[in-house]
Amino acid sequence: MFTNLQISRTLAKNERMDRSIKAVSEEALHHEWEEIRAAQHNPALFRPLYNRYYEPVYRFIHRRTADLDLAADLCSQVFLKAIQKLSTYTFQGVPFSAWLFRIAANEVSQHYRQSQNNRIVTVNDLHLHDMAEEMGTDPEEMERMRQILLRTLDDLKEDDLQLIELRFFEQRAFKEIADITGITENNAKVKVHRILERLKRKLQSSGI
Amino acid sequence: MGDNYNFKYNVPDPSREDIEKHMDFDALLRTYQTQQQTTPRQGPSKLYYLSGILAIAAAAAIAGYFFFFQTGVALPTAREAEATATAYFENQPYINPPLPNIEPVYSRHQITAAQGGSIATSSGAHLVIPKMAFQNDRGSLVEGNVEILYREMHDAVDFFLAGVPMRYDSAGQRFQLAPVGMVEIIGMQDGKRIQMAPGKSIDVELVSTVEWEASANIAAFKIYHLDTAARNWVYTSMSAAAFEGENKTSTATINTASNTVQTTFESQNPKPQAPVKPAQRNPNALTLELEEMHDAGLETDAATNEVLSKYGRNAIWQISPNSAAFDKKRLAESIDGFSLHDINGQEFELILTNTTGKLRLIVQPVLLGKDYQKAQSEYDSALAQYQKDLSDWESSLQKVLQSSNTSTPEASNSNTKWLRKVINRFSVSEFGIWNCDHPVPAERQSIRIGRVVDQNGAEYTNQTAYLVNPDQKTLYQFHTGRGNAVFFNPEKNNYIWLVTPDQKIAILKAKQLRSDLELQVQSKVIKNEQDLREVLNWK
Repeated sequence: MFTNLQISRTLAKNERMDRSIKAVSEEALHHEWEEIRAAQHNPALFRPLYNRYYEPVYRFIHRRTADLDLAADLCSQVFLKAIQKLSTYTFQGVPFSAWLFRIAANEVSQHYRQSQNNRIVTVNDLHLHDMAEEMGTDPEEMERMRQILLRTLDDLKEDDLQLIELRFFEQRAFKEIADITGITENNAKVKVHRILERLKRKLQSSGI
Repeated sequence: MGDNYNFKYNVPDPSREDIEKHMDFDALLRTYQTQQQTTPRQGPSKLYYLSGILAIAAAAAIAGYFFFFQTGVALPTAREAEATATAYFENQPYINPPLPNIEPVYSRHQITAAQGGSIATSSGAHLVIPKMAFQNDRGSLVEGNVEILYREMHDAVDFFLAGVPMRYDSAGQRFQLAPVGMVEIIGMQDGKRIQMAPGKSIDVELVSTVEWEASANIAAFKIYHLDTAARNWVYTSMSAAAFEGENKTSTATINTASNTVQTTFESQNPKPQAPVKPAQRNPNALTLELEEMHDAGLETDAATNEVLSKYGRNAIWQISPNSAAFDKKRLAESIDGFSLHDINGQEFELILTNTTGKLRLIVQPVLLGKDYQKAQSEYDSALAQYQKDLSDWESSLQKVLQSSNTSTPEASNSNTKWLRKVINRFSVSEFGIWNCDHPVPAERQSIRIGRVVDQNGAEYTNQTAYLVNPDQKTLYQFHTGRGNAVFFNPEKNNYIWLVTPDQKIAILKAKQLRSDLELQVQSKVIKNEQDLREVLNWK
């Protein structure tokens, strides 16, 4: 027999495995660098980069705003800043997308600073299921654990929450997380591990 | 809601359509340019300016790398110019008719989808369409009357007007396609485009004229399909081609002879089989755990077990976009068994059975993460090997066929090229543009563009220009940006032309090209194909 549960588990498994496929080849990086250099000479040639990255950047912002129009406004700002700063961009062996995500993260932070609202964090069952599995907690306890886990996440610092968000809520590889946050891949792994340990201790103290 | 963050639970992801409606690069560019114009520029200090000049002059002197023109503007490096050209073409529609006011002319034919039928065109082509060969966008088979639109493209003017790129990149090498005959076939029902159903194909017999050696009775041309999504031509097969002429053996005899020789060759030398390209999972598509269902003891036949075993546990079975629309609630029903049947090497028919009936889906095995990367890497190696094996195989076949030609009494010793009528036979499994072709290597000699101007001094810096060597039945496209390379044949008259903003044609005809290309704008406004042929003097 197969059921929707099986289908959703397959999807969850697939998403987890997706983490490893986001590596960008050297050849693609260099090809992209050529495109960037062309756009540095002629801003009209920024179009292919815009077309390629608009959707991922929009989704990145939407996950932090949960608002279609706000995400569109901030996304426009991100690309305007990108095209304004493009002449200063230099190739450092990381994907161009990481640079755009950094600008996007700054735009989102600036928006929440100005609006003085709490930053939105979007989560779903699959994300929490993944986190529970990584912490060695029984995912079947999810119903009971959900509220406690969200409370513990609420205590995290902004930088730590961002790492959890990138790793578990957006299923990104450590290499990509490192590129976006500007830390080393090892450092990203260690930090995520430590945050999970802290969360695990808090859950245990709550009887999970 | 937390104290520090606002947790939102199970927020639906925006659809691609939601996102795309916000995309507007032109508006972004306008905003940027407006800001640039209103932001006062700080000029460099004299010292900085002088040191800059010295640095550039030194670099130019040492490397000999920069050119200066009368304008004093340095030529971009070859890589920069190539990147600019690549970005420019990537930003253009892949099929990009340069004179959109000249509508393509199709012959239109009605057939009944349930019965199929044959079509004879005024150009002498024949199309044989099987019954139930079409489906709509939702994957449901189409019944009722269907309109087939057909047109042929035979020379550089046709390729130019169609906006079809003739560049073909294969295994890292660049070729130019030189069609023996190119066709576009479209299916419509009630004004909407339809598609070919999986596993169905239209048999095409295309008649064209080709300049070919007088002594050759049989030719083997390659069949390519224009993949507009992948933005490249895709090699599909060899055509069964035969020349037809008064002083040659009759077509029937040629066919029999060529078929016999070819069949014998193929029986002794099996044609290399193309490796199956691994597919990556689409995160938005539903997937099924067929292996688990098999393990759970659901009834399967031997052929299905063989397929499951072939693709292994790492494969995920994803419902194909070609699958007909179905009620997803049916996936929650208990089922008794399932079967898998290969449709086209990429897709499988999956039939789920239970007491209430059968559910037919089209599925495809897909991979994820490292499994996909590994499979892709293996595929790349296998593809390179396959292309080499196929090329060797085709060369051997050509030699055998040619040797068969020269051994026939009709064969002449003359290598003179004649204009000869050729019949290509091939099958098309998708609507779109198909090409019987004899690819030629791209021209080797090149110049780097300084300026592209017309006789009135207008400069064309960022658009597509076209180059034709009349001895090659192909059309080159290039970007007019400074520093870009233009490949040409210095032994022949090269025709270069472009479309001016007021829809006129600017032309240059020359054997030797210099870096500055000066074109002559023709006064005639191009209203139709005839005008264009007159202006280009291309009959």
